[in-house]
Amino acid sequence: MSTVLRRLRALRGVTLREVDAKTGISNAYLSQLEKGGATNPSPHLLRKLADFYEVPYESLLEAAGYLRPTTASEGSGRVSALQAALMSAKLSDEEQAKVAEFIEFLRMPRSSRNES
Amino acid sequence: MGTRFGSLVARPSSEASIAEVAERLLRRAGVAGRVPTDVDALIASSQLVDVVDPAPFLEGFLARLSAEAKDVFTSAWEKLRGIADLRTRAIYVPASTKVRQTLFVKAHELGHQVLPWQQVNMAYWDDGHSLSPEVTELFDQEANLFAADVIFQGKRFLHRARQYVPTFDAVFSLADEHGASRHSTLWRFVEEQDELVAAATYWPSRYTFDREGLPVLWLGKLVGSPRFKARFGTLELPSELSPNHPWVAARNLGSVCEGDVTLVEVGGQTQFQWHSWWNQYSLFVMLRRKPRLSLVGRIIKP
Repeated sequence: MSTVLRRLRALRGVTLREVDAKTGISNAYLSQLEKGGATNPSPHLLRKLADFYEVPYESLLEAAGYLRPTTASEGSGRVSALQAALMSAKLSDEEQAKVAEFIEFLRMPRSSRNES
Repeated sequence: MGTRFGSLVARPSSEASIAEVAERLLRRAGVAGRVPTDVDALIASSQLVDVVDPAPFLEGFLARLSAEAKDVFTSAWEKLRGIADLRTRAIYVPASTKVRQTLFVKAHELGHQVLPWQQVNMAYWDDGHSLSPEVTELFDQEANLFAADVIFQGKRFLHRARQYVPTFDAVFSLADEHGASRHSTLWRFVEEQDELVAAATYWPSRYTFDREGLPVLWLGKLVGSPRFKARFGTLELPSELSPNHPWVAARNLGSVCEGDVTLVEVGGQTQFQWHSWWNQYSLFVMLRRKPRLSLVGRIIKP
């Protein structure tokens, strides 16, 4: 994360104070992030930095370790369906799998739902 | 056994950004300052989402499942309060007779759809990426905060809450005014107070019993006013309550109870007034540092 942020700022040729002025993130905190002294920046700050540096937000989420390739055992299709549909409930793995199926069912066009 | 107050109380660092998004939406929908908040108007104004009752789709879906799978799905369905599908921009909220709960769920799911940093490019999902569990949980906390911001109209609630003496009567009155649940009003009410006030919830355990074999209640959520958090970070609250603890009398009597209690902190102890209330599922306790002069029987501050 720190390397990515240092590189992005160098490419834009801006100072920490300029990033601070444009994003509202304090230059002291930005400095800590770039030095690796601060870890786990909140996603809402990463979104501001992504907009400022004009890079995909997801690339910063990935650099921070918040977005990762799904392992085979997690079932990529299921996780994909679930995470693109944030739910308000704590469910078991088995229950999550069934809800993921239901979400995919809801996304089907009406004709496909009737056929299946 | 006690739990330090400061160890459980936290709000997401995105709090100010969430408040900005909520306020912008309230103004754009023309409902700023009007309670109860018309959440449907907010959804319409966001021009991003549809609210759908998923019930009509259930029959068709269940017909595809085996008997065993139906049981699993039904169990999940009973726990599910709502779904925000970021792919289709739809919000699924089961129709319910609990109007206040439905209002909160709609606002929560709307939060998932409108908080800009919760929008992750769909290509990443299709590519088989997933969010870490910590971020998923954070997004849920943020959506809760967004829901409270729109239902309680952001900082407008602060002025309203500070007109009241911290009691459950005040909480119930404000809940009715805002069309909100009593427990969500309690959290917001306490967080907006300018005096030393905190609230805790205790959940009955199904598996832990006291020496007399009676089920204990476990400390769950804790919130405090800004001054309380600053002053009483090391205050120790009971982690569990036996059924004969004075606070639990609210459950046994079916009414709000109150009294005084002395709690310890690093370097001393402080006397508090407590009020407890049982909502049929959980016990809620409000603590207020005992004022030198008590104005008994008043709800509105003089």
